[in-house]
Amino acid sequence: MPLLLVNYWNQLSHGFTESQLDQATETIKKLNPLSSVFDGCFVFIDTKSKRSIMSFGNIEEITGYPALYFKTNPIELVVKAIEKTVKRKIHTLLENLLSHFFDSNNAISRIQEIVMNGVNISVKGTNLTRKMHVKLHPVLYDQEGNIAVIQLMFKEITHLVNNEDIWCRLLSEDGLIMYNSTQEIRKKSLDSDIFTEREMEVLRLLQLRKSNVYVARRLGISANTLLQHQKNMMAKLGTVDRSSLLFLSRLSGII
Amino acid sequence: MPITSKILQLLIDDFTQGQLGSKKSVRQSSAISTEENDSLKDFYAESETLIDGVFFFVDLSSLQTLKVLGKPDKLLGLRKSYDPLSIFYSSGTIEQYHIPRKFAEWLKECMDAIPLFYKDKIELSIGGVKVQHTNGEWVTLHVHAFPYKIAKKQQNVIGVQLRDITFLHQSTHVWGRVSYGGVVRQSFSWHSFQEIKKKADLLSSREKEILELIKARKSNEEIGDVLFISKHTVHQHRKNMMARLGAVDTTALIELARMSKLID
Repeated sequence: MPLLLVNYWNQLSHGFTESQLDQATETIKKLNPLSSVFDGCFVFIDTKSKRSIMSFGNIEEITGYPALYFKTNPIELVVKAIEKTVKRKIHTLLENLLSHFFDSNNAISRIQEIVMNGVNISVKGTNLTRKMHVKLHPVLYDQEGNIAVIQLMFKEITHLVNNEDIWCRLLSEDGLIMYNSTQEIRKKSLDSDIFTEREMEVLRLLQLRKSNVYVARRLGISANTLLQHQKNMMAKLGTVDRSSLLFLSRLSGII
Repeated sequence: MPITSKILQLLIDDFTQGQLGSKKSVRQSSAISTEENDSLKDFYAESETLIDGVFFFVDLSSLQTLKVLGKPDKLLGLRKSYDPLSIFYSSGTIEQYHIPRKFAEWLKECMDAIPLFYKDKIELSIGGVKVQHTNGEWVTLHVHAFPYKIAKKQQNVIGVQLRDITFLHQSTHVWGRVSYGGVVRQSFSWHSFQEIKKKADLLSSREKEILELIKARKSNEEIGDVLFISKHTVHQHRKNMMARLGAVDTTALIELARMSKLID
């Protein structure tokens, strides 16, 4: 079992009474007619009863699991999906991150956001496996600052990433962002951010649809250096090409 | 006249005609505006992280923006209080001036063809609208307009979603797609100065089939094996699709097709 996820999930609970929670989640229910706006599928989960309040998108089509199953315990599905993931890479990834959290006196309760990229989910009834972008993100807090409602997001990224690349991103309370990718497990190093400052500069300019020549001239580097920067970034996120690099970095909140 | 305002104008005409003058006042749409608790005031701010791009509601009887979700300051350089519709009136334009005219003509034809029964179920998606960011950059937008209904009474509210597709899209390409009743679709695509293509749908059923396989990360040869065609034919299909949607590469093609709901 991926310890980090389960521990994180178990220790979450809020101080709301049921009526207060109903009041608080009224706006979430109001978002229901908006479900066609959201890309992928979203589930809002109450952290005390661990049941989903509201779900958007076609869960059955995207994950292959029936929507009813999702209502009882959605996190279970995520954990099951991770257990099936190729070569158990994500286990070691999560456990490495967990040990790092204990080393630096960071409690698990301080994790605010978990992003996992490249989790495999096999679609029932077919031989296909889909690569998913899974994101756990707190939406509502009670007065003491505990997480009351958490949002679980699935998005299919099969066409964006290479086959065996998996990476994780944790956001803690201090705003400290930690990344790990399959490459970096070998080195056993944890960077504070997946991209360096220079790479972020390049990425921002690329997103404005600037050509390689323009970006190189603007930053005062040669075109070959720029290409190398792009190659490094693509290797870190495991994306297939330039536009998927931009898309995925936006999706996971790097830009 | 800028493209989006023209489209909205057409939609308004149709909606008001369809309802036989039963215009709703702006007040009735106050169900959208917030009445939430103190603990919840930030929820809309939080929900903005869920929404890709900018989303806003438009009241068709008065053409006012009711509620803006998302980050207009990031996308267009606007402040939150600024009305997103007004940017289409003021600065929204396309480099080739004849495109909006052709587009509006096409849309008029579409609207005439739609039976009255479906008038409140029209969805419209446009790719390649160009709008100037306040810092001078040109941003290419994907516009998706669809009826937004909380209660049955509010038929005159539509939701409009703007997404930034600058890095997915080539500069001179514009296309639109109208669907109603979930079944019938009409589409328009403009991908050079003279060429105009009107079709039942942007992609044929064969192309959609191939696109599904491309999405599953199959190579040209593998797709050819499955569909009993040569890999060069697959390549040609891929090129055609990219030309029609104006995508820069295959990833962009899939994302654009998903945004306009051509594939799931």
